[in-house]
Amino acid sequence: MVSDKRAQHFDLVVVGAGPAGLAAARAAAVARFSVALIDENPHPGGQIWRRDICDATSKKNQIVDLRRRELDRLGVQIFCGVTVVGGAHDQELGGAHDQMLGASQTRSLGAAQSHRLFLSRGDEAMVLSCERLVLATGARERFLPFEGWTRPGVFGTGGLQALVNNGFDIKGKRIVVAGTGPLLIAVAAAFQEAGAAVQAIVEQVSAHHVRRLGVGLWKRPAKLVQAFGYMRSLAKIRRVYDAWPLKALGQDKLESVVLRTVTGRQALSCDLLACGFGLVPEIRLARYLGCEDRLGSLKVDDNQETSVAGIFAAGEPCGIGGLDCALVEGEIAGLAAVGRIAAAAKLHAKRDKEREFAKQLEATFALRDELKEMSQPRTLICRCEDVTRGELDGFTSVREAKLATRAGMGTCQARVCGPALQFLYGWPEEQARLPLAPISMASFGVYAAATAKQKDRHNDGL
Amino acid sequence: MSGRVEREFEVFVDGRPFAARSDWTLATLLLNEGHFQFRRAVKGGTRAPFCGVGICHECRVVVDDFRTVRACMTLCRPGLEVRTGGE
Amino acid sequence: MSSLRDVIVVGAGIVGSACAWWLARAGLAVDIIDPEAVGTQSTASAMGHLVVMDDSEAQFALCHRSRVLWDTFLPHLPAACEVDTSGTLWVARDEDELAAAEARRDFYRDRDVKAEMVAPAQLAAYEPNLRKGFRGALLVPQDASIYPPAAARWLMDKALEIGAKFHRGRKVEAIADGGVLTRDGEVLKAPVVVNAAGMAALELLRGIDLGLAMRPRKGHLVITDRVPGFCRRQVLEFGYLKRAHGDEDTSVAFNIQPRRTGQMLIGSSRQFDVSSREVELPILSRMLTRAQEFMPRIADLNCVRAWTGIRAATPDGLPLIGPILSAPGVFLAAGHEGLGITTALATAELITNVVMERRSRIDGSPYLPGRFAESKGLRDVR
Repeated sequence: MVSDKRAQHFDLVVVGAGPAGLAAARAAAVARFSVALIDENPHPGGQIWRRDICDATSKKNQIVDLRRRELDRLGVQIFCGVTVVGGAHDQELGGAHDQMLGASQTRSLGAAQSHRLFLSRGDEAMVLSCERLVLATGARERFLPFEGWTRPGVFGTGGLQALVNNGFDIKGKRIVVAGTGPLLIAVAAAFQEAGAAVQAIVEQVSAHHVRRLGVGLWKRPAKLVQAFGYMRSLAKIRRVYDAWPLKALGQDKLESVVLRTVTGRQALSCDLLACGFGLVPEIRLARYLGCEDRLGSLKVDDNQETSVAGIFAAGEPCGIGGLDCALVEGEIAGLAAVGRIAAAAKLHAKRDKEREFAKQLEATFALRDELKEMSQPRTLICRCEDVTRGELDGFTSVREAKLATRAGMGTCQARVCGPALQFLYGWPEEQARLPLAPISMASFGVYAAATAKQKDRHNDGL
Repeated sequence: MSGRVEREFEVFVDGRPFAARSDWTLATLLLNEGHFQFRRAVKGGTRAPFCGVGICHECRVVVDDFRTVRACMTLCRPGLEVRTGGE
Repeated sequence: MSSLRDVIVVGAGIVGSACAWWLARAGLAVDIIDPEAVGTQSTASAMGHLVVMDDSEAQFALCHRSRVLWDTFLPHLPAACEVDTSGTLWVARDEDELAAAEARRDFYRDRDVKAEMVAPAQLAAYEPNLRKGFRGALLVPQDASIYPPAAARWLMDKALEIGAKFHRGRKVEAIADGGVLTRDGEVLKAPVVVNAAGMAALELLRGIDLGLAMRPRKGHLVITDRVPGFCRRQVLEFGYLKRAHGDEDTSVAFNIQPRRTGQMLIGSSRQFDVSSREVELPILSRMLTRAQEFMPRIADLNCVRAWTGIRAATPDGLPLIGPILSAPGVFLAAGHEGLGITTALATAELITNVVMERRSRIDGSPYLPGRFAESKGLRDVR
């Protein structure tokens, strides 16, 4: 099954339809450039504005609907449910681009090189080419393994929230939320709203650290309102600081979680455990396209341009920064990508302030070393291939460990175990290869037609 | 959210009919039915959705005989046949 | 580091690791040196097919001897080596290929390799997912497959158990003057150096021109999610032989291998003189489109991971195994193209016999490193 419009060209392609991507698409479209916005999920919104099926008129849904209507009016093409398989810079494919699209295509941005993305949607495949790219690929959660974390009923924090958004009924369920960072508060509040009984919020940093951040919030009224909003709805929920999970126990389903606390081990009965230790910038596609990073965050200049000319990035991929940061960086990226440098410059100060706050958050919720003891030799580190901590000790790089144990060779392509291996052993994540995500074999036929014709002149002879 | 959510059509899971909605993913459907066993792990044991956003692939199920899909990224459709417990 | 070593083996791929063990078993003090760890280069990308090939008597002899050696060890390899002894099915699409298949069967039978034809009507019973319409197939039931990095590690562990020393993470810059020069400037001396450095082997030989260059032949492979039972044995198209060994710059040929994990490994491709390691979408697409022509249900599978590997190819398709006469004490064990895993053990045995000046079971002259020199007006002599 092949999509009719297999190859399309835009001035700008924005990857990721979360807050940053929506902002970037809008900024560029307002400036009258042709824009495509792509996302893997069925609806725009990313994580923080993930579509709430249960409450159609929720604030989040309204925000996204509003933005979407505006983008539709501005002629932005939105492609949902697509996965990015790979990409290329045009000089590699030499001329196929122009031939594929016909000579009438004008290059409105005068790019020295253009970019191409190979996309897949089920069995369908598509190639999008563009002069400029904005990567607004967000972040993913960092999961730290502990005994029993693979048991059904244990979820990531954002993960359980996403499932609840889609209609997972948690009324009356006893939930423990554990890990680190402001996300714990946000999801705990959401779970309460959905009728669950949140048993505790278990935070690895000390109360003192979090209070210090609270003091800093005086400088930022908007965030204070946000924080107080949460505080009220969470007032009754027990907070445990300096604590983290050690074991998730149960027979067929989760029944309890054992915590490490300052006063010793404590067991909490629960039906569900939502657990996540912060966020990690999602930069696989960026690195694949050659963008440089520093310790896992993309390097960008004042105008959000990466080390690759014509590729911009905004929001979490540049360092975990939160919603407001994503919005302003998205706007800067969208403007700068289409040459509206003066307009972009006006937003620099606001962006810098947001990044400053982001740094404070990062420092507050830094992972403590003791978390390395969460996993035991028998604890599974790679969930896809069932590789334990004990099997991984003794290697000196991800590559070596991978070849010997198959850790990281599974379906998730090391997205889950990668950050854990980095935290436990200091191994940096490997460069990703095409395909950037698992895709169906059926879709390859389209790429063969769409990309190989000009380059490869050999006949298979059948 | 008030009361019972209205279901629209049937989806078959391991041969059994479950009432589903078109805006639900397979993950939502199975979890709401208390079905927490999605796939079998390499060294035994069962797995269920974990990351919830399509990254971990723990929620893999087989649809229409041969297709392995992520339950959390696959919407329900009328007559879909789903098998759990695969690898 | 002790300087009382007899042999330095350069390269800890499957060939180097096998050589290290064989030489150690012969009583020699062996040091192996590698810029990374065991089996991280071509060995890591390989399919691990243990197969008998018949392009020439010399190729057959090496493969066959090596297969016999593998057979003695396969039952003892640990689970990590994923030993699978289900055999190979070579599928024929037309009368020409069928005739070639029958000729091959005869060739094998004459040399005590079990081989039998499978009639079209029986094919579905052997491999239900093969599409209909093939003319038949050749079954080689004793072919096997392993997971190469694990097998290389096993061989290295065996060598280490009997006193060999592994210097991982150290790069050799040059082989000369009775030893090797490392990148960090150290000279390690040994009376014998075995150069098993794969694609890089010839570059390490300073001042020696054997009249050939090794050409990289890039290959692509993909692995699927777990679909146990999708196929039961390694299946290749017969045209693989024509296509794989021709001189075309780029070719794809169907090849599927079931792994112990239940995943399917699908290949294959060959590109001459491309040494960049990136996964190329056009090649992958051609390869997988071709695969679907043989087993249409491959369309339903997911490609979970793809990777590339570089095969080191010599002009005549045979590896370089043996002494370099103009550099006494230096031996080559490289250039195995697509048969490195299969022939690693026979290579190790041959090298050990030559180093120990013992008679070898198979005639080593077709693999002599100096064989190209004459035609180039050079001579590999002492």
